[in-house]
Amino acid sequence: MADTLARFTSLVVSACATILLLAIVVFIARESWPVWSSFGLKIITGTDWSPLASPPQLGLGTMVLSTLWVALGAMFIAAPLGFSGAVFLAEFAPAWLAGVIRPVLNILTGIPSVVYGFVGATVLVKWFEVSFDMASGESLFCASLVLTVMVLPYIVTTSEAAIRSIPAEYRQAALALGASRPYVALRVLLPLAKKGLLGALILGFGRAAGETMAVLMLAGNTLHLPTSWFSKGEPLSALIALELGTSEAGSPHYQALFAAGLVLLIILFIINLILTVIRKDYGRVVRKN
Amino acid sequence: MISRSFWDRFLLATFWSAGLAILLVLTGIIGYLLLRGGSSLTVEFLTTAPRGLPLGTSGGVLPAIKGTLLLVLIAVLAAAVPGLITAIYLSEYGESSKFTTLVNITIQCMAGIPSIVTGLFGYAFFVVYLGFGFSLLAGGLSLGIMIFPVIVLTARDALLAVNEQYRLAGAALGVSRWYMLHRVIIPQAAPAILSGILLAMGYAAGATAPIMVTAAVISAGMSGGLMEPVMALPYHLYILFSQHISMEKAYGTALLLVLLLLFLNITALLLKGRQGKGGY
Amino acid sequence: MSIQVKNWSVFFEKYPVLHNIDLEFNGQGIFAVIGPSGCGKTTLLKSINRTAELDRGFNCSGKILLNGEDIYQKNDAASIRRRVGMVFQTPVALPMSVRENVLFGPRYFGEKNKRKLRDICERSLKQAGLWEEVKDKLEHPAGELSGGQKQRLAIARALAVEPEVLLLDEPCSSLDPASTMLIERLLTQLSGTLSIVLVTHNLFQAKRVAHQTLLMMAGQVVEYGPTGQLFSKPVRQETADFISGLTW
Repeated sequence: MADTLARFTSLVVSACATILLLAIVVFIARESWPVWSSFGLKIITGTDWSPLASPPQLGLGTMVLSTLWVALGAMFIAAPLGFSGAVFLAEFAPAWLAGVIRPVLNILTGIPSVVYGFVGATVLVKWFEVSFDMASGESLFCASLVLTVMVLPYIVTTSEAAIRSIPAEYRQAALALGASRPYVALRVLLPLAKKGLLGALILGFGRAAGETMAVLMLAGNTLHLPTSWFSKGEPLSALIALELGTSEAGSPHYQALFAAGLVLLIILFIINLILTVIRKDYGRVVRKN
Repeated sequence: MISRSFWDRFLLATFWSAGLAILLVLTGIIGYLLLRGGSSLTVEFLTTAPRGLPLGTSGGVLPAIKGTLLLVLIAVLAAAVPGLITAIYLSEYGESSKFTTLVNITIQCMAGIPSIVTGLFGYAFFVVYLGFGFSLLAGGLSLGIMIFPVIVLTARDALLAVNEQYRLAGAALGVSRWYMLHRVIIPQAAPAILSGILLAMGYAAGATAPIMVTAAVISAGMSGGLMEPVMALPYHLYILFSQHISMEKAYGTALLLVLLLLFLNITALLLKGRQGKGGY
Repeated sequence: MSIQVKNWSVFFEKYPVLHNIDLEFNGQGIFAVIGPSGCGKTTLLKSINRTAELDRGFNCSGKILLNGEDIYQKNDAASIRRRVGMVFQTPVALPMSVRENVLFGPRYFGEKNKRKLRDICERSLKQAGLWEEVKDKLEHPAGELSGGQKQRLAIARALAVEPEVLLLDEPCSSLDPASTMLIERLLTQLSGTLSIVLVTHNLFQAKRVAHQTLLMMAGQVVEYGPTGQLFSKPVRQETADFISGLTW
């Protein structure tokens, strides 16, 4: 009797949770619907953002580009760094050192993004201004650097698991030929862990694309189309954070900001989908015959 | 022969550097903040409100501390119970049915939603649609939505990790699932569940984006009214910095935040390590 | 070509695995090592190619000489592993093409000459009896090969660095009879020029291919001698008991 009640209650609550997610998506889609119907896909491709002009120009293209650029840029740096760190933890670190680094990675994930942004702004941006004689050191590159640090723990942890799951016989066979452990790690282990490593990168990309505070404080927030990694830009998340409060509820400006939110959601859902597909056979890193 | 051992050593050095870089990053951040902000962490800083012109150049951050605590409290109250119940369903009652898979995927997706989008929803729903306005309640509930999936996932994993032997023993005795749950399994999983909740609290305490658009303001009273806007530590830090109000106070605020989160995270880690897996 | 094992003992974290092994493998041919599971056959093999020390807690005493040279004297285990090839129980295809699998060792040791590499690849695959089957598929991922083919590939890979000795640890235990026969034939062919030490749990296999057989039990040598004699007129009672399952 107690069991049936417990089962029923928990089922209802879980169902509500699912409905909640649906509600969020539906709400955002609904709030943004008017601009989708009047502007269509030009919202994503257009690069002119003047929402208070008449008629309002609602092009999110610059922001979408900035989002993708910072996130991909972060992956570009995080991949070699993260994979090397994972190899280190899985193959070379003495047990005591690994036992220190793993909690450190855990703690790094707990540091708030605004602190990362703050430290990045006071240290990195200043450094850029001084070393390269720039008027202001913010840039997409700066943001990518800090995003790399922020997603590094996730990449290292996921990649390490992938490398650890490689059966011992691969290491044995390669080492028995006389190759060194670093060589085996690079030429045998990393290629074998490809699927898991890819999953780690996609996970990191998702987090980087959704990040708000760090990019808000580091990417420069201009509305010009970025032309290089060192240009300034304004990712979608920063746009929403900056302009939501000052937009008039119900106006095209307001609705376009929701469209921006929807675009972000869609990017992340696609990423989650890819991850789920990869995770399905991620456990079997190697095809057993 | 020479180049082979050179490459071997180079590769090895690369791997070592990556590992050490990780340590360097954490110690660097904490050390930097300690250095620059340590002097700001005075009793006055922790117990008085901001003063000066512009506001924040002197005085302290007490209202922000209070605001953060209240926001986290509301978030946890709103998310913990439903979160635990959902976790119980996923680990105990939902045997590989299509619905369970759906819920699992949903929670996974929710965990991936950017915090600003949660804030967007919170603004549209709580602030505007329900008419709460910029308020503690709106902010707390938005944070609650943000941490809900985190709580579900960690609690679910904690429950699943409890030794299967217990369930089998209970079933063999003819005892109900629910009885085993609340007498044995939940107590066993309790440290890890608690650890997950602490982490979620830390996540909520440090989140800026959602509260930036639902609750947080530059300056607010300390009345603690649910419908009043509040100050919060992460937002205060952002304002101090971006409005160029006071670098000194900014460092202090950042250090305070980091110390708070370090405390929560380390406690959570220690708790997790103590999860009982059974007398084996 | 000779391998001399002198008073060789191995412990893993104080847990003894091999006790005072004294043996010699001299000249070309196939030396079979048989014995019950857990008797230390694999550890003996791994001691000779210096991969035993990669496992945690490895401790040893005694000497192993390769052509008179103490292989544990030098710190450079890699050069020993180059001279002593090893093929393992599970067929392993490295994550690269067939050609790159074979050339993994030579490339690591610095061979860059394209013509030489091509010759090494062809020679090794021919020696392993795999050439005809893969000569048009050299660029294909090695993961596509069957179990028997992968094992022959492993042999080719080991042969590519021109070892003086080839060790095989139950190479046919996960293969079908046809592949097993192929590999046995191939080993017999190779034994004309190489010293081959073959660990097998299949007594028939030992009888078929080996000219000398070693029986081990509980980390010690029980009997060692010409195969025919060991199986028909064993000296020790333990040997007779062990092979008593063999009726012809």
